Amino acid sequence: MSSFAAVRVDAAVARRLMRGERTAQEAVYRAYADAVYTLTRRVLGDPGLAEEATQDTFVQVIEQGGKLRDASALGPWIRSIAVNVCLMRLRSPWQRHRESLGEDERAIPDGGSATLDIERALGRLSGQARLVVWMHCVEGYTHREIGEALGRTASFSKSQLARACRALAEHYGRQPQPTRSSAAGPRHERTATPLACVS
Amino acid sequence: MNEQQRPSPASPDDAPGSDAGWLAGELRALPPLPAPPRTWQRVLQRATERRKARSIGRRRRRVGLALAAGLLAALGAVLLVGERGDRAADVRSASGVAARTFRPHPGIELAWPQTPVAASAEHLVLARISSIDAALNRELLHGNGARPALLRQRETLTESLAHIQRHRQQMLVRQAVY
Repeated sequence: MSSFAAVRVDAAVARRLMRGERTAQEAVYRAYADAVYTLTRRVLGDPGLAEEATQDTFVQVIEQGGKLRDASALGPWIRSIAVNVCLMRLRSPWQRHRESLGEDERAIPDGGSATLDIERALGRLSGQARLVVWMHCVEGYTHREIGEALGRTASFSKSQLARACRALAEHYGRQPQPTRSSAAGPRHERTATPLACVS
Repeated sequence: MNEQQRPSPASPDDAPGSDAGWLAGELRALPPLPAPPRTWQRVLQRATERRKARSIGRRRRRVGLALAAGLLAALGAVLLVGERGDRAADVRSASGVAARTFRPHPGIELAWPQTPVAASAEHLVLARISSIDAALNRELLHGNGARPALLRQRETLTESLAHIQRHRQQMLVRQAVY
């Protein structure tokens, strides 16, 4: 489940945030800090960058709290700020250079557990592909919304997701399944936990 | 899509047991990561610094506008007096006021000689004007009249140069004030 969906904040606290009260700002931070850090860490793939992005997100929450119009939309509002902050980071020349360094020089956790395994698999994707996978599979964004956020089309988001899934399939040493668009061709037998995405 | 109506993160394309559904399940099963300690203190610190920087910027803009308004008033007053007296003398006086106002302090000039961008742009425009002047001289030497296109271009460049110089002088005045 999305970490944001699990967070519940009293509407009164959100209204106080909109008025710029410091105690409300801290309460909102306490409620959403882990969710924001999780999103930024999964998308950016680096603890240091994720911490900076988390700080950027909450600085904007503090500064723009007065612009929030609907107290019940606090969670989605914070999430959209976090996604925008991640996008800004991914578009920076420094981040693009970092992506070009290749997986060996990026911070990919080692370990043998299933959790670490999927984290390592995610770490091998490009930043944009991680963003698409996370926004679609975890945060529930549609391809159209992702395309709009990236300044591209829904098809771009779909192809990014399909490519990411193929890469993950390769990581797991599985035979990628054909996508729905290529269903006319011979279809492979499904493995127990196939990975190819159909979207 | 309305955030309130957003479907569960199992995306619309991901039927239970489908390939994308499996991936979504794996990703959603990942444990949430705790934010690093002391992040809130850093957020507060950064928010405070940004607020201070913004208020300083606002104050500088206000003082800059007041300075510009004062300068215009002074020039206006000098020119107004000039309407009744010796025109040439008053224009000289106005120029003197402007020169005194914009004259940079020697120490300031050392600390802040010129903005590099303005300086390079100024040199570029000056070089272009010189080349146009040379072209115009050649035309005159050959007995041709000055080409209107060149003259127009020179006029535009001269305006640009004046604009750049004004900008540079304003930067110096700002540095002198702060």
